[in-house]
Amino acid sequence: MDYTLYRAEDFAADESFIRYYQRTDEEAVAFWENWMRCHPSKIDEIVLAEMMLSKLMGHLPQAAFEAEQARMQAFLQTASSYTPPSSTPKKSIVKMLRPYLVAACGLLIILVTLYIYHKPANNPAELGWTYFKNSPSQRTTIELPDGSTIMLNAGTSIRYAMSAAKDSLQVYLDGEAFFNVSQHANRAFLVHGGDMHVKVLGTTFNMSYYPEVGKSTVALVQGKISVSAKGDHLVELKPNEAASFDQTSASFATGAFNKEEVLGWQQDQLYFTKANFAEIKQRMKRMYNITLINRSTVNNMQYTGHFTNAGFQQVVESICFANGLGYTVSRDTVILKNQ
Amino acid sequence: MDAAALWIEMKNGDQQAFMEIYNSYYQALYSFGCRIHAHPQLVKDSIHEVFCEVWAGRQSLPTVQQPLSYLFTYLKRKILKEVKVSAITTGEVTAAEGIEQSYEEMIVRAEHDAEMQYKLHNFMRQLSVTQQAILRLKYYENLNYEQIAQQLQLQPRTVYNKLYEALKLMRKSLRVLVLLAPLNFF
Repeated sequence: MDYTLYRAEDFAADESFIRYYQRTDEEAVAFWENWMRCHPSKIDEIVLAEMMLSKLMGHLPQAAFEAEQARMQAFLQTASSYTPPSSTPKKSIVKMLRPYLVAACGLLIILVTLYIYHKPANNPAELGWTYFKNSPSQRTTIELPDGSTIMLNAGTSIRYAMSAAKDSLQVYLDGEAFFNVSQHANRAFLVHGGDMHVKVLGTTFNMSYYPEVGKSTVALVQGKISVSAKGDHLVELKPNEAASFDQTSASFATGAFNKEEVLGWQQDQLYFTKANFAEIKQRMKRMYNITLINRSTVNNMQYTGHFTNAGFQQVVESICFANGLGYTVSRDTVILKNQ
Repeated sequence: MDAAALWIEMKNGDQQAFMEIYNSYYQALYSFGCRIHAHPQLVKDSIHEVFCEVWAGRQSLPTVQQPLSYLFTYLKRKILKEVKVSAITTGEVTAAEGIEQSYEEMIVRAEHDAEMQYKLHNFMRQLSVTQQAILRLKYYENLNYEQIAQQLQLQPRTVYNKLYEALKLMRKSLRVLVLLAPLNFF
């Protein structure tokens, strides 16, 4: 059978491909993973076939699945602080402590509620936050109540609110966005990305905040903005200047920036500049919703490259080639391996 | 790495291996769970609990050749137990069947995106009754072509052809959306 002639509907109707997709047959999984490695040009048809199967099988939609993943991750984080109960006495201790734990949780909830209730400013209920979450692989432009527009990069979410007195508009950023802020004489426009805070007066600028790597960056195209980080380093940026803040090292830096590199995402350009694994992983997740796992022995990988309108496979291939690695794809996970 | 080896790494406390198992089996477990009990929230909670228990008790887990079938059995027991408990507490006899819904309704409702929902709905409406039945038996009941042919009293080749036509139509119906958002495959 010549699978290279297959289109998405042929794959989706193929018994062995279905067993691969459902992970019910080791042999089929191994066969198809290997086949895909050998035929990277068929990836678009395969992805389409997998999407059709996902719909037809009534799988949990991606967003809901991600919520479940996050729930699992949260459990792992709390579970890692104690060793698993392997003997019965330990279990009974947990059981003995249970009423106290429940009481402690209850107290915590009460304290948090009180804190939120008494916190004077930035109270979400008071300000009426609007939330917006952009899905991966998609750009969206939204308009704010004051007429300003924000273009959101893939996988970016924001929340914003106008103060009751209508004298300030606040935006919280998680990801990357391009802002075009309309001029208002007596209204402050404030953008927060992690520990970095930007005060705006009628401008266009690009800003990103990636909590997963603890880095905030703002690049000014035109107009004027003032930037502060952790209540410190207050600077005013001129056009073509950028500022960045690294949460882990608490370092703040300003300088010129490369326009294509920083603004290119609006035209489907993807740039990596001396990116390490953490950064590559984070950007693949946001951009393509691909989870990258490094199972190779290369710990200090670095990558510089530029793509136009590229699929994830092309990006992964290029990164692997540069670092002398191989990889396997299984659904939305890419595992990097030694060749 | 094969599934059995991954299982052993997970047993030895490798979190990455654990998440890999979670990611590759989740959707299969979810569809399977929905077949036993149609209420999505209970299925999601049960899967979550199964994985929590697997991780917490990883050291005393058996070494299995096929983790997926082990997890299927585990999940089935868990859901049936949950259903029994909720039937006792709520006094509902019908709990075991969950919410009855047609295949078409189910796959359209499972979709969160409004535009995609519309496309799927349109696509399903264009299918013949036989085609709908074939899709359900193939992708939801997980039967092979022989079994479907027997049930519908058709030739296996006919079953395949009808299914293929339906998939081609599906591709066409979804493409309109794909053109609107070129990168939105995932």
